[in-house]
Order: sequence, then structure tokens, then C-alpha cells
Amino acid sequence: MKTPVIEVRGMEGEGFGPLDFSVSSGGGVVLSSGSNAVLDELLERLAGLAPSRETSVRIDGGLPGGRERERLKRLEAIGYVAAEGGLLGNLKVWENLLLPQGARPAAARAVDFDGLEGRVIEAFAVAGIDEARAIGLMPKTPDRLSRFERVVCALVRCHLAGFRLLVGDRVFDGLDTGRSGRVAALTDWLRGRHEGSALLLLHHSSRVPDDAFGLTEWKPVETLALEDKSWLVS
Amino acid sequence: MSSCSLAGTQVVRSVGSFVGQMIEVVGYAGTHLGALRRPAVRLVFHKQVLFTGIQALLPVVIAGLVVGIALMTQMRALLGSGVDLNVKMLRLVVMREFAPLLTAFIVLGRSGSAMATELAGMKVRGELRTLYLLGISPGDYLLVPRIIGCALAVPALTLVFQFVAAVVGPVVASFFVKLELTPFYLELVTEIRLLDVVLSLMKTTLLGLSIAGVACATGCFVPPERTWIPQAAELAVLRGFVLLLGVDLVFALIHMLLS
Repeated sequence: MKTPVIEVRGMEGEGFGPLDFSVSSGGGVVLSSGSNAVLDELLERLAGLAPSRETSVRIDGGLPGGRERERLKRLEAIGYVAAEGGLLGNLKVWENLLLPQGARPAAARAVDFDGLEGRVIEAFAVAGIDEARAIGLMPKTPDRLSRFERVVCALVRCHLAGFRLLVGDRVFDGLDTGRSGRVAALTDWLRGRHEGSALLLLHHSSRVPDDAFGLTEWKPVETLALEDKSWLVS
Repeated sequence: MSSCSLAGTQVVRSVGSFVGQMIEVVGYAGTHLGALRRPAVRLVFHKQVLFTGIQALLPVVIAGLVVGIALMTQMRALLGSGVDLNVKMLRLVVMREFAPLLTAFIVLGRSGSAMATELAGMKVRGELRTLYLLGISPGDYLLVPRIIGCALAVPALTLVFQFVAAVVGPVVASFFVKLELTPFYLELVTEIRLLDVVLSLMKTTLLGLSIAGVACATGCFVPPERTWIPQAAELAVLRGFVLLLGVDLVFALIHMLLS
């Protein structure tokens, strides 16, 4: 029996009801809510930034709570892509791509550049961004990129840093069908490149998507609608 | 009366809370210096030194030159041609007071406000959470290089200010007033003591830490709302201004006690 990459038991927030799910390697889950605040809260609880009693969240076998060093160490297993990509606005794209390798507590004294360019160009190509365009993006700041480009850059950053759990925070929301398909293609491609990984997507909608955004490589993809009780808070 | 005392209590509480936050961020930087070994953190540190130190050279040199010339010409009119008194005044007024304080004000206006705005903006845009989720400590990545960079830049800039005001200023002033430079410089060299240098370094390092501490604490602890981004700069400058004067007063008292 495979150990789940993420296992959540009895998680309850101010804005959502009890939540239980687990995802094993190769699989995925789409968590859906009609409220951005609920999704934000869920993400913070999953990461252990807003811990709650009675909740058990295991990422790659470890609990995300505890001291900051231990929590950060476990969060290194996460590849995180925010709704707008989550690139730092004061860094250029290439600096953003190398950020996890250079700034994590276990970072080496120097970033390993061997084969890096090829890996970056290969990943961009999967999302339909050719070499010239990809190189053109590198010296830009995220403000000068489209939302689609920012999301692709964040996925490439996850690819370079490595991950066990790929977390997509509303990445497909607001993208047209063509761009959404290219993001799905890159996400699928990452499945093959990172053996043993799992996928967690947060989605803003009261309706759970039937086709899980057209992802084909992650199996099975479970879809769950969060029980929204944010109206109780307000 | 009760509403006045209530307001007073609230002010004391908020000041106490802010001082606590400032000590927390400076303490964090002091205990996590090892973070500077990481390449991405080092890059932020280099950028901070470039922005706070090197790019502030021009305003500091101009300020030093103006103060040096103005003071030499004014002292000459006030104190006459006696070298002793002119040098003493230069040492007490320029080297000990004006140089550290004016340099710190320049850094506060440039870097302090920029740091507070940048950190508040990052908080509002959710970038601090992104750093956490990437397994990066926001404290290590954002606070350590800024605070250490600023703590190193302010003493270095003050040295430049002191050099320009005390060495270049009299040369330029000598074009306007009669001033014998050789006895002046000889007296200046003999007048400067080791204790002055040590206290000056301590004072300027503390001023640098205060500027960065105020800016980082203000930027990190503002509410995550867009309207607070510009207010963070204003608050950091205001709080920093008061704090710098406080630090200056403390060192004035130390000098008084030692003399």
C-alpha cells in the first residue's frame, strides 16, 4: 500500500466544514469553493501557518506544524503555484526561477547551473512558449508578464526546485480554454518528470469541474466541494 | 480625564508593542546571520548594500561638503583664526553629531521608506505566504540581508561624510576665508582619539540597525490592506526620525559621562 503524499483528517476552518482526503503518488484532488477567503484559509491550514486542534495534516509523512525550521523543511516537499503565479514582484523572472534553490535553509553555497538552461527551455516548450520567447522573459519582472506566463513560470520554478506535492492555487481560474490547456499540458508533463508526486488543486467555484481541467496524466483525480460555512462567520 | 488617560494608555501600549516588534526583527537578524551564506540571500544583501550604501554616496558627499564648508566659514567668523578651537568645534559638532545624524536621516529617507513600502507591498500581495509555501523563511530572506546591509552601510557612509566634511570641506573653504591648512590638519589628527572612533562606530551601527529595524517592523506588521502600503513609508520615516534622535541623545549622554 502506497503512503499518501498528503493526508488530511478532520480539518475544519472558520469558513469550511470538516474535510478529509488523502492523495497518493500519481493522483490528485481538486478542492472547490465559492469563496476566495475559504480557499486562503484552507491553504494556510494545510501549510501549518494557521494550525488548528483536532486536525491532522501529513505532507510526505510529516506533520506541517512544529518549529519554523521543521515546518519549512517539510514545506520543501511542496511545489506551490499561486493564483497569479506567486512570483516575487521585486525579482526578475530568472531570479524567481532560482529562488527556492538559493534561499531555502538547506541551499548550497552556489546554485548548480549545469543543464539548467536546457531544463528551463524544455519546460517552457511544453507550455507552448518557444526558446526565444522564454529567454526574452528571463530579464523581465513579473509585472510585465501575462497571467498565463506567470503561472507557467511558477510551474517551471516547481520543476527546477523539485516537489512531492504540486499545489495549484486557483491557477486555472480566469484562463481561456487555449491557455488553460497549455497549463494542463505542463502540469501533466511534470507528473512524468517528478516520480512519486501528487497534485492538489484549489478551485474557486461552487461547481466542481467535471473534467478536472483536462488533466490526463494524474490518476485518479478526486473532486471535492468544500462545505462552505463562511456565511456563519459573517 | 478618564478618556485622556485611556488614550494615553493606548499610545503607551502601541509604542511598547512597536518597540517589541522592532527588537524582534533586529534580534531575528542578529541570531540568523548564517542565512547570508545562501546565494539568494546574499544577492538581496548585495542589492541592499548597493542601494543603501553605494547609491547614497552622492547625497552624503554633497551634504558632507556643504556642512564642511559652511561650518569652516562660520567658525572662522565666530572663533577667529585659532586652529585649536576650530578643530575642537569640528570634532564635536561635525564628526560627533552632524555626520552620524545627517547620514542616518539621508538613509532613513531613501532606504527606510523604500524598505517599509517594499515589505508592506509584499505582505499585501501575499508574497510572504508564497515564501513560506516555497519552504523559504521570510525572516531569513527578507529581514537578515536588509538589516545587516543597513547596519554596515550607515557607518561606512558616516565615515565618508566625516572625511568629506573634515578634510575636503576646509580645502574648499580656504578659497573663501583665510585658512592655514597644514596646522589645521595636524591639529585634527592629534585631536581625534580612539574612543571617539569606537563610539562613533557603535553609534552609527546602532543608527543603521534602528533605521532597518523600524522600516522592517513597520513594513511587516502593517495590516494586509493596500491603503497601508504608502502609509508604511510615512510611518517608518516618522518613527525612525524620533528613534534616531533618541539614539543620538543616548550617545550624547554617554559622551558627557565619559568626559
